[in-house]
Amino acid sequence: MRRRSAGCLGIFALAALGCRGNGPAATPGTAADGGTRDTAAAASPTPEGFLTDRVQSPSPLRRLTRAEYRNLVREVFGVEPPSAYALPDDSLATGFAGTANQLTTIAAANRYLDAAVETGERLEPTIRQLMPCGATDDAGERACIDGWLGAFGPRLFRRPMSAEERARYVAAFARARANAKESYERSASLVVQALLVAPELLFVELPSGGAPGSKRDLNGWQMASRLSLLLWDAIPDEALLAAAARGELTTRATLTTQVDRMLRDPRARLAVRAFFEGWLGLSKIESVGNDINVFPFVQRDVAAALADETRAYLDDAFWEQDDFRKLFVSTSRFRTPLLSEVYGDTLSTADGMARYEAAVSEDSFGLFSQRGFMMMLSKSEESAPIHRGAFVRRKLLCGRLPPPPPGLATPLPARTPGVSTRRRISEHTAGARCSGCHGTFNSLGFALEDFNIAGRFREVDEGGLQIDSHVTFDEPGLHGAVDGARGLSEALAASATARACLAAQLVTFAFEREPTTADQPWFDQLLRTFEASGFSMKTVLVELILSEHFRTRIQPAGSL
Amino acid sequence: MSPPKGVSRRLVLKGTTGLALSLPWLESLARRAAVGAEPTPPRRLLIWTQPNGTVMDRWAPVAGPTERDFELSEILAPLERHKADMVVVQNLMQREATGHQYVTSLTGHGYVDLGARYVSKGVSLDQYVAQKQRGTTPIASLELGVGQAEDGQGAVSWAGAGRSVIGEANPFKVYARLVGGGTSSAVADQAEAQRLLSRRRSIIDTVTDPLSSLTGRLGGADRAIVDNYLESVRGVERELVALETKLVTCRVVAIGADPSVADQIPWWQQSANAPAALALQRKLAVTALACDITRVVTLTVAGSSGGLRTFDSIDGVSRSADWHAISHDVEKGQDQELTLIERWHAEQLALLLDDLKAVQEPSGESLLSNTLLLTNNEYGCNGPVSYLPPDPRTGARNTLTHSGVMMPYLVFGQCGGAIKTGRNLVLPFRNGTELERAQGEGLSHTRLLVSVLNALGYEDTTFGDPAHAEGTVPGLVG
Repeated sequence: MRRRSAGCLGIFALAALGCRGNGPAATPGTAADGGTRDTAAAASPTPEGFLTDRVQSPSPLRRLTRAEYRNLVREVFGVEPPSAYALPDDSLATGFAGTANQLTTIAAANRYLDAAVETGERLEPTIRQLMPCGATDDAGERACIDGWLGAFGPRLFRRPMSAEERARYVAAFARARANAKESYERSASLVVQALLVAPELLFVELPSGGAPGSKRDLNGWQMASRLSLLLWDAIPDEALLAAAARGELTTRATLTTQVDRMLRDPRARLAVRAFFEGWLGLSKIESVGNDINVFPFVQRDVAAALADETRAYLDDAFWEQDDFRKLFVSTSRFRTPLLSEVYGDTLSTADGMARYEAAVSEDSFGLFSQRGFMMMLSKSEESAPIHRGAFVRRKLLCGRLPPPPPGLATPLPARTPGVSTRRRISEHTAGARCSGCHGTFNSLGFALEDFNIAGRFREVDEGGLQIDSHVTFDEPGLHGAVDGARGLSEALAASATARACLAAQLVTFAFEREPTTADQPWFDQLLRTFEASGFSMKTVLVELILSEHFRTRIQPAGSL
Repeated sequence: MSPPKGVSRRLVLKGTTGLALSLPWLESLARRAAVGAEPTPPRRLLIWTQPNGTVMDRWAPVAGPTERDFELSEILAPLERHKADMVVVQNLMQREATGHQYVTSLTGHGYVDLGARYVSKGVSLDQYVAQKQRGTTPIASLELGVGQAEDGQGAVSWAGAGRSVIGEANPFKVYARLVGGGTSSAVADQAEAQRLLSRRRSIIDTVTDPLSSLTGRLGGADRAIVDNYLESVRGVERELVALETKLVTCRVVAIGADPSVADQIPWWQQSANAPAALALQRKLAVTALACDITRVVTLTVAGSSGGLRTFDSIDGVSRSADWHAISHDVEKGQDQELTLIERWHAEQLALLLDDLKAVQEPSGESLLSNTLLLTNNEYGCNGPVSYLPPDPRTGARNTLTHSGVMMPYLVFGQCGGAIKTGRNLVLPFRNGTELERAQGEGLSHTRLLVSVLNALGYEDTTFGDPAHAEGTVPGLVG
């Protein structure tokens, strides 16, 4: 799915007004701000000003996402679900999928109805395998349907279906059979179709009621649902429902067992991929390959392979290396024969994608030395340091950059011979009204100048001038001197702000809201656990699930 | 217009009756006229929204000695044949806009940045009118999009604070909705169509059972969300019932089958097919208004900032260059490509107007004469405006990019006699100071929203944030 870019930031000048980087004030000396811990051992690990004080709506009721709905159809009914595009849109500006605060229009209701009709029709010819029935009389058939609802209801509604609820669908079956003289198959498919538009199926139930702002615990079923939707993009399996029925999902100790089991399931890998996709927008790498005019040197299959490389690399850092720092600097390389050809190395020794070891060097070290990723961060004409810097500031350091204020957006002057890209940008954004914002991300982009628009390591820029990617940061979250893209990667790996940002992204992914200043004590604890685990991202995810925030819900106020 | 790829032009235009009419999708309208005229034809509202502003120097008509003397400029030239049905409204300003937000354009309210999305603080003009007219027509309001569905930054229509109404971008779904058949593929025989219809009703009846146990257990805010869902599902059925009687007198002609391939980006969402998808939505909009299926339509030609739309079919526009990027070229003095894109949209608008004029109402008037078509945009300028004075503080001309100033509004149609057309209203700047003129600081665009309401027969005196209440656009209505 195409995601929105990190922002519409092109070649703008930004005003200082309203621009807020984040992280502690600069104290020169080291490249990363991790050192601030030394001076204040007991201080909060959350960088100052990092958390937003913007009011977040507390876990609004939401519908299933496209992926969740489709997985439900696949798993319960065993048929190919309707196309994701046929379902209502579920993209959020955070990049992650969700439907919070989105009204269901009549057009969207029509889409759900169409999807239900389509699924039922696809299922109809073989529906007796799903809903077998030996009876030939009306009462017997109704009993068959009721029995099926009793067995499948807990998966569809992610909780046992009440007798009253079952009766509603049995009655629909009976009406079709009797009044409309429909076949058993067609009447049974009506049951499936109606279930697929039932609010109990489409909405993710949470504890509800009571005074706005008050806190209520999720019950076992709601926990099971929340867990599986987060970790699998799918509905709970039988084992999880059984654990819910035994009341095992409401205490930390027994919950841990289930979470461990779920993380070992292959579906968890897909859910983590969805996290990286939402965070970094990697599908843009593939679209680069579709755009032969912008990047004429990239074939479509190469772009696809480069996107797969980056995904495999992130998977490796998350699961196998289990280390946040390895996102930026690692000896893991992922290659297919085609990718080895692209990179001009001899790593690949087998068909298909495999992991290989390689030494860290200035042109091969991690995310920022990957061709696809760096292409994604480029513009058609040049490496676009402003664009790259803003991406790092926004996405990897969670900086808040406002759009350029009216009247201040002025174009970058044309390239003049003898003037480097870096100098051109520096001079253009040097004014007092520009530097407030640009000062928080320009040098992030300059450090990445080692790699051209094709993600290839280089010594000279587009104008033939020597690259100077040596930068000294005095920006929130990073300070001191670093040398080039590799130096920046090492600094990010050691940056407390980058770590806090990863944790914040996981919170947003899991809870559909950003962590706020009200979360500070808990967020501090999360970061301490992150550090104690050797920067295991998996541990952050598990801690989020084990936290009180996952097990409780604050009641929303007002209407919508 | 180039023929749409994937769907042949003939397929699009061929009616179910097979009659070779020049406007076959409106085949039924003559018949409608025979059914019996209503005493006063209803007034319709059609809002056409574009992203990415314009090239103001090439958009603004050249004003003559009176408001009736004006010459259309390069961008609006394709609308020459509709000049007598047009009112140009120049120099209004959206006070709450900061850039690409559609959110403020029809609401006149501010917005909240919720992180995940921009959320309006109030209802939009189209939804406000639809709410006032609910029950009058089968569909209270029809929201149409083109390409990728708008995300939270891009919603134009708001049912109320925090409640975005996202347009349907799949024309085949729109068609299905209008014919009440509920299936996006063309249904061959009547019996099959009836069967599908009754199946949909059975599904809806089952899940909208008033005795549903779910909503009873929910807190207020949650119940509102689920109630909204159930209300929309019930709304589908209400439309089905209302359309059944309506379609006896007015038939929506088939638009062909969706050529999309399963699990690929749908045909209608691909940038290359946007012109064809827009053509279909245009026709569906006119049909819905002509058949009085609805009296309020919003047609949004692309998501906020253009949703990465490219214009490979327009000669002179760089291949694969994205609309938003092209809009920024204007700042660099390269305004030719955006001009071409803007002009192309004016051509599409002219085709829409042709269709509105071609429909004859029971009263004998054209549909356009009972319609108010408003063109809306997320902002106005993309660079300096040559006819504004330099900033007295700097001596240079302000860029005015990505701001709410100099909104490029056009109003078409006489709206049942409420609007005298064929005029160019060059509105004053706020207090007329040199600085305000240099900054394009105009009167509030909420004036236009109020004037539209007045033209439709509502006596509202304000719309949107009361802080921006200034009254109406002087001289537009009446």
